[in-house]
Amino acid sequence: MQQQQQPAAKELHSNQLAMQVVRRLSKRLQKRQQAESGATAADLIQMVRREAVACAGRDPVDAVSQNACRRVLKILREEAVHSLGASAQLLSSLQNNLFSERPIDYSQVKADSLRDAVSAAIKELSLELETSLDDLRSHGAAHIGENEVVLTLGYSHSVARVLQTAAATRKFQVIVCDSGPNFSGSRMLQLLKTVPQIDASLITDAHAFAVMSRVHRCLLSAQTVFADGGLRAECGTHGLLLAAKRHSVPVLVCTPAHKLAPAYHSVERANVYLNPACLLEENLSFAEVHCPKYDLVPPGLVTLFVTNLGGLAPAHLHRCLAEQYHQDDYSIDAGEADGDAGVLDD
Amino acid sequence: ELKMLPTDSKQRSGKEKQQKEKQSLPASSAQEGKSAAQLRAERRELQERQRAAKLQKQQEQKQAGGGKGGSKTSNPSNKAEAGSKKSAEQKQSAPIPTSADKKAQSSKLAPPGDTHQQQQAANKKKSPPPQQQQQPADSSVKSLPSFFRHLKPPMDAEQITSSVYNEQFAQSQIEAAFVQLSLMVAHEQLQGPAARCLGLARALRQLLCTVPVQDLPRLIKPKLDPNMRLLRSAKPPTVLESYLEQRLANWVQSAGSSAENSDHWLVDRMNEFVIEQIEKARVTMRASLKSKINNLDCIMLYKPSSLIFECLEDIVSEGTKMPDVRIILLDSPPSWEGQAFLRRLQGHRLLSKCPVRYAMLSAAPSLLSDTSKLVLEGQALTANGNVLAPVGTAYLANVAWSHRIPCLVLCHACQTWDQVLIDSVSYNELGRVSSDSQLCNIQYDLTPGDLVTALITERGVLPCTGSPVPSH
Repeated sequence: MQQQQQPAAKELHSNQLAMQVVRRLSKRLQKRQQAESGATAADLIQMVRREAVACAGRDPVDAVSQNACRRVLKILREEAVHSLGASAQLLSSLQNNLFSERPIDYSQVKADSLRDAVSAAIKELSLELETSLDDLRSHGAAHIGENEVVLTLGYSHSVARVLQTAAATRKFQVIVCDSGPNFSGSRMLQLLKTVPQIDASLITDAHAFAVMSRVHRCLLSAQTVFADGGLRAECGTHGLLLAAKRHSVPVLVCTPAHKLAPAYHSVERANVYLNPACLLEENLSFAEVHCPKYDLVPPGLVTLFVTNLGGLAPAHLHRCLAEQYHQDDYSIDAGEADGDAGVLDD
Repeated sequence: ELKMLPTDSKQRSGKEKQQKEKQSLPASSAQEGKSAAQLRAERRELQERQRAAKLQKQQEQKQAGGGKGGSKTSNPSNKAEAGSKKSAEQKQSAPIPTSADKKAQSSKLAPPGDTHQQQQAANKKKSPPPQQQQQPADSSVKSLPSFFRHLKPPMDAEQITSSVYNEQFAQSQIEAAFVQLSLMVAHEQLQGPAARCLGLARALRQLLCTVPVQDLPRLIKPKLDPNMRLLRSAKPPTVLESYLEQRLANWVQSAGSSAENSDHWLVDRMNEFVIEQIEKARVTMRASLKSKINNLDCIMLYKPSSLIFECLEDIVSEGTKMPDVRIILLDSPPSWEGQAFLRRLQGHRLLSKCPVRYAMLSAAPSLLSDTSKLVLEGQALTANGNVLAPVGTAYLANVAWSHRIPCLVLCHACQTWDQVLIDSVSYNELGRVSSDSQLCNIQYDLTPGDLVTALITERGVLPCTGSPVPSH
């Protein structure tokens, strides 16, 4: 009754998903610019915001697509400000926000003037997204020492890369926790067994507290990182982090920066519930089965976020957010949804 | 009548049939004991011949199938005659037909794998008597984290029967009841804190019947020793079992002249022990637990045994004033005790009064906002105030503590232990996993005493610091 989940036929890593969204947006931007001669920056911004709402509508749990839209919005806004001139730049910079009086009027900026700058910036963004996992693993590997015991949960591409990079120069042990209802731990174990310097073993997460006294590091991944330091991660992460906290084991969460969402964990309660049949057989279905795919982990349990931009303390997440996204794009309301936004014209 | 606490009814019926098989061999007196050994030897020779034929088939199967991945070495079984290490590897190659057998013939009696492994044990008769502890095959050791490698891997039926053979070779006699008990213990058929102790009591009863009363103080120890050795080699004893043994030794010592005692005085003493320390204690603990459960409570359970089941029945049968109670049942692989509990609940009248929610242990934090209290069962209370309990209990107690949910642990008073433990690594047992699973399965973990709100024993409701301190 316990089934090993096969990887989906087209399983996308988060950076590939983000790159898809960015590509789609850049095409639409170009089309819009060609179609409408009088388009302003405000129109383009509006279009991308609607796309972000549509992404949220398609999959409430997926923050990566929304974040990709936010990155594109940041590009648009920045380039618009550049083209408005030096005085406007002065107004909008982070340091001067306190003193700026006039908000930027994006409808003053013509879309044509932005075209080259925006496409160059989008290319840079795509490159950054593509190499995000590679950058991440070198930052992460530094935290694992020789002969240390590392605990991880389930299968994660980022964590696997980090461990493989670390194993190139030192020997250590990895204990993989397999937690229901996802049971992706065996997949991680198979991968790690092929790495010569890693001594890998598999336990269920019931053992997490029992082994924690011998563990040196917890290395995990998350599906989304919230602005207050909370996480949406694989089911079983919360219990594991509590055990780590009890034993004072440092917890490193390896996520690329595009998983960082400007939302709060206490507000975002979206979760995915799996089919109970994966746990229980038919005749036991008188019991109400609760099997969430994700855990919503409150803040305060993570020591360090390892991103492609480097290590980030939980207290500094807001700074990374401010650099990545524009303040006005932090919240994108569903009210802006429009008819054409739902169409995927790839 | 002593009650065994069953886990899986299918497996239990299989074991009962095996028990009947064994009991058909007359083994109750010293005179007939030799013939039992002879019968066993003859049976083994027959099985040996059958086994050789089966091995041939296996070998062909193996060479066709290509074996089971790099981690399991699959030497052709021709070389398996010599040396115990090779036979251990052979044991590794057995799982392929065994699991296939099990799937095909699940309705038959005692799992065919056991018979097959007994045949392998018979094969060892050719080689000089092997050591009692088999060297574990490399692949099973490798998949353990390094700090667990001091733990013995679980014994197989084959190893137990070879131990039995060794003891008989050394001319000491093993009771059939003890063999059966060792097999059940090794295969983890007996779940729950008191089950193994009850099993031991039952086996002891049978043993005591074979010893004439006047010779009892003199003969009991030499008779008991080989049996207990066998049982201990299957698994280390639980606290209750050690306690029973200790009491037995005390009774025999303080026996006085045998003329004063009735015919079955030792058996009577033992029955008294079982009734007082285990059955009456359970009744008292159930009442205590019931008093702690209030109306509209939502109770979270993890690896519940029949004790908690009976307590729930008590609550529900209260009448009109019965509390409205909900249950959250947590479960974890590979033993899936929660599902066994659900099967017991299936169709039970409990369900109409007590709705049940089922989830994996990993989902526990998300369910805690609904929970009023957590009820767990302990295996032992260490001398420094920590609780040894089935694995996962500490995880759950920690999660509950972070969410300020009270955690109640049920424990017999005689389950207090004189060992001092600070983590789950120094003392533990390796559990069984299916042969194709890479999982490292530990039986126990240690819950720090400060995570437990109260310990419910038959002597009262105590904090964990209330454990008796051994005098040195």
